Amino acid sequence: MTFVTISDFIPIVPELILVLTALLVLLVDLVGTQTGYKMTSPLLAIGGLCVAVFAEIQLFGGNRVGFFDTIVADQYSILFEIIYMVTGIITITISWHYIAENNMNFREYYVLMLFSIVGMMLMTSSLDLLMIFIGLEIMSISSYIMVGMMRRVVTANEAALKYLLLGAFSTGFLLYGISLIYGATGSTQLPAIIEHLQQAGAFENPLVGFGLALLIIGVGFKVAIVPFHMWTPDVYTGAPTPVAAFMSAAVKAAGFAILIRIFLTGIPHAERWDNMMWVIAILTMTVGNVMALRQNNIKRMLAYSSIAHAGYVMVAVVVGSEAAITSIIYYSFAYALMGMGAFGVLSIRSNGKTIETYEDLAGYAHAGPTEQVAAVLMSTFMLSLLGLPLTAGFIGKFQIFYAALDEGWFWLTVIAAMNSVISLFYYLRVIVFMYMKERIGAQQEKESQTSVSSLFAITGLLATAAGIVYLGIFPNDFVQLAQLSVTAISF
Amino acid sequence: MDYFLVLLLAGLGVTLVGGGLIASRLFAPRNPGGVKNEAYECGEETIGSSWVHFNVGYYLFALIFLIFDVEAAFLFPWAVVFRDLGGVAFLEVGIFILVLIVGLIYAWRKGVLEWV
Amino acid sequence: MLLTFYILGTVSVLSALGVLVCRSPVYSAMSLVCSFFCLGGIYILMNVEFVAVIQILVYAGAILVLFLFVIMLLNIVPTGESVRFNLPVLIAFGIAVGLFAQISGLFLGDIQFGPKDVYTAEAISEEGSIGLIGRLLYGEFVLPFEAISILLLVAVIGAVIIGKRRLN
Repeated sequence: MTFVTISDFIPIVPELILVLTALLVLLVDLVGTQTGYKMTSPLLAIGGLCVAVFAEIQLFGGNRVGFFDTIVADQYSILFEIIYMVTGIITITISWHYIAENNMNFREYYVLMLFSIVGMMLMTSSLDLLMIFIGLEIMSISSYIMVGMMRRVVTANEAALKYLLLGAFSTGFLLYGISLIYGATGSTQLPAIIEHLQQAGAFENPLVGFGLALLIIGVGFKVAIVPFHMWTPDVYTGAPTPVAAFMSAAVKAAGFAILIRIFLTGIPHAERWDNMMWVIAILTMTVGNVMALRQNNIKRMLAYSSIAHAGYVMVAVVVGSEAAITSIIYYSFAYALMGMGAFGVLSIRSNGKTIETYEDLAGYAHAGPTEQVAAVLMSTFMLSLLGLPLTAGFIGKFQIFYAALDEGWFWLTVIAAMNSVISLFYYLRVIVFMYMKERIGAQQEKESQTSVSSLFAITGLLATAAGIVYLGIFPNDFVQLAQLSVTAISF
Repeated sequence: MDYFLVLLLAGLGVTLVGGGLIASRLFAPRNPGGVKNEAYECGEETIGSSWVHFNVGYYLFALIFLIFDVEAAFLFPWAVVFRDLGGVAFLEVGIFILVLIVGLIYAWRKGVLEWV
Repeated sequence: MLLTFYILGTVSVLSALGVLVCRSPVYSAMSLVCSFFCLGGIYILMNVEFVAVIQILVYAGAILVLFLFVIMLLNIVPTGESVRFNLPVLIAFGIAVGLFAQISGLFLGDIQFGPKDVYTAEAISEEGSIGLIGRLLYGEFVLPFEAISILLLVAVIGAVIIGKRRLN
C-alpha cells in the first residue's frame, strides 16, 4: 500500500491556492455583514488568482510530477493554466460592474468561478482520464450554476436548463467513452492508453474506435464544434455577459487543452480520422460565420463567432503537427483575450441601458466619456477577431494557416481564409454602428454618469486590449513559450 | 460472498409484512361503510384533491440529502479497509469531510435547514 | 446463480417497461425503484458490491426521492394520455433503434479487452470489491477522491443558489 507524500502536492500548489481562496471567499461571505462586502470578494479572488499565477511561474520548467505520475506540471499545462487564470482575473474585473448593475448579488459567483478554474487546471494537468473527467465536471457544474444565477430572468433560466441538460448528456457520452477505452486498454492513464493504442491492430478493436468517438463527442460539446454547437447561442445570450465571456474563453481553451492531450500526443496519425475531422472543422467555421452574419443580437453574433473561432482551432487540430499545436495554444490565449474583451464591453451599461442589438450600438462612440473609451476598445477587439495585422487575432490565424499549408492542407486553408472574409461583414458592422450611425431617440440623452465599477471594468478591458496589441506586435515571446510547452507533451 | 443472511432477512421482512396483511384479512371481521370510509377518523376533512403542489423547499432538502448521500457512499470503502490503511487514509477522509462540512455550514448559514 | 440472474433480469426489464406504461407518474417512479433494486441484485451477482450499494443507496434511495418530489412539485396528475407517435417521436425512435443495432453489432464483433492487471475475478472475490476500491480510492486515486469533495461542494452551492426561495 503506497500513499501520497508531501512532494506529490507540489505540482498542484496553484490549484490548492485557488481552492483555499475559494473556501475563504465562501466563508467570508458567510460571516461578513451586508455592508462593505462588495469589494472584498472580488479582490480576494483576484488576489488568490495572482498568487496562483505566481506559483505557476515558479513551477515553470520544473516538470514536476505527482500522484503516481497522474499529475504533471509541465510547460504545457502551466501555460494553459495561466491562460485560465488570466481569463479569470479579467472576468472578475468586468463582473463587478455587471453584478452591481443587475442585482446579481451572489458572492458565490466568485467562489464558483474559482472552482471552475480549479476544475480546468486539474483536467489540464492530469494524465488520468478519471481525473480529467472529474475536473471537467467541476468546471461544467460551476458554469451551469453561473449561467443560471439570475433566477428572475427567464432567458437565463432557459439558458441554464439547456446548458445543464445538454451538458449532462454530453458528459454521459464522455464517461461512456472513458469506460470503453478502459475496457479496451485496461488503464485510465493516458501514457498507458497511448502505448496500448500504438500497438499494431489496436484500432481493429471496436471498443477503441467507439470509445474515442464518444470522447470526441463529449469534448466536442464543451468546445462547441458543429454538430454539437446547438446550445451555444442560447446559452451565451441568456447567461450573464461576463459568464458568457468566461465560457467562450476559458471553458473552450480547457476543452481544446484536453483534446490535444488525448488525441494529438501519440495516437498514430493514420487513426485520427482526418476525413471526419476536417469535415467538422469546415462545418464549424462555416456554420459559425454564416449564422453570425444573420444575427441582430450582438451577444448571439459573438456566440456564433466563437463557434467560428473554434472552427479555426479545429483546422489546427486536424493538422496536428507541432507547429499546429503551438498555434492552438497561441490562438486559445488570443481568442480568450479578444472574446472576453468583446463580451466585456457589452457588459458595461450605457445610459442605464444594456446593449443588445446593433441598433443599441448606434452612436455609441459619441454617447459619453466612458463610451468613447469603450468604443475604441470594442473596435480593437473586433479588428482582432477579424484578424487584422498588428493584433493577436492576425498572428493566431497566420500561424494556423501556415501550419496547415506546411502539412499540405491547401483547400482547408483556403476555406478557412474565405471564412475569415465572411466574418469581415459582421465584425465591421459593429464598428460602423458605433461610429457612423446616429443614436435613435437622442432626446432622452442625459448626462451619463461614470460609476466606479464601470471604471474598474474599463481598466480590465484596457489591459486586455493592451495584451492583444502586445501579442500582435511582439508575438515571439509567447510563441516561444508555446513551442516550449509543445515539446513538453510527448510525441 | 455469502448472501444467505441477506436473503434470510429479506424473507423475514416479506413474511412479517405479508403475514400481517394476510392474518388481518383472515381473522378481522369485515363490515365496511360509514365512518370507516373517511380518510381520517379524527381531524379535518380534506378539501379538494390531495394532488397539490408541494413546497419547493422539500426539493431543496432532497437535493442536499442527495449530495450528502453521495458523500456517504464514498465513505463505505473506507469503513471496509479502515484497519489496514490507518493514519494517512484517515487524514484523506478527514479533508474530504472537511470540505463538505464547509458546504454544510454554507447551507446552514444560508438558512436552507430552517423550515419557515 | 444463473436462475437468480434470469429472475432479476426479467423483473428489472418488466418493471422498466412498467415505467413507460404506467399512467400515473407515481406508479412509474415506483416501478423504477423496483427496476433499480433488481439491477442492484445483478451487480451483486457480478461481484461488484460497491456499485450495488451505490445503486440502492443513491439511485433507489435518493434520486428516486427527487423524482417523486418533482412529480409532486409539478403537480402532474394522471391524465390517462398515453405516448403519441408523431413524426419526431418516430424519427427519434428510428435513430435510437439504429444506434442500438450499431452498438450491438460492434459488441458482437471482435472485441478485445485490455489487460486486467492484478484485478482478476479471483482477486476481487477474495478481497471483495469494496475493499479493493477502498485501497485504490485512498491510495492511487486519492486526488480524484478529494476533487469529488469539491465537486459536491459546488453542487451544494448550486442547489442553494438555484433552489432557495428567498436568499438572505
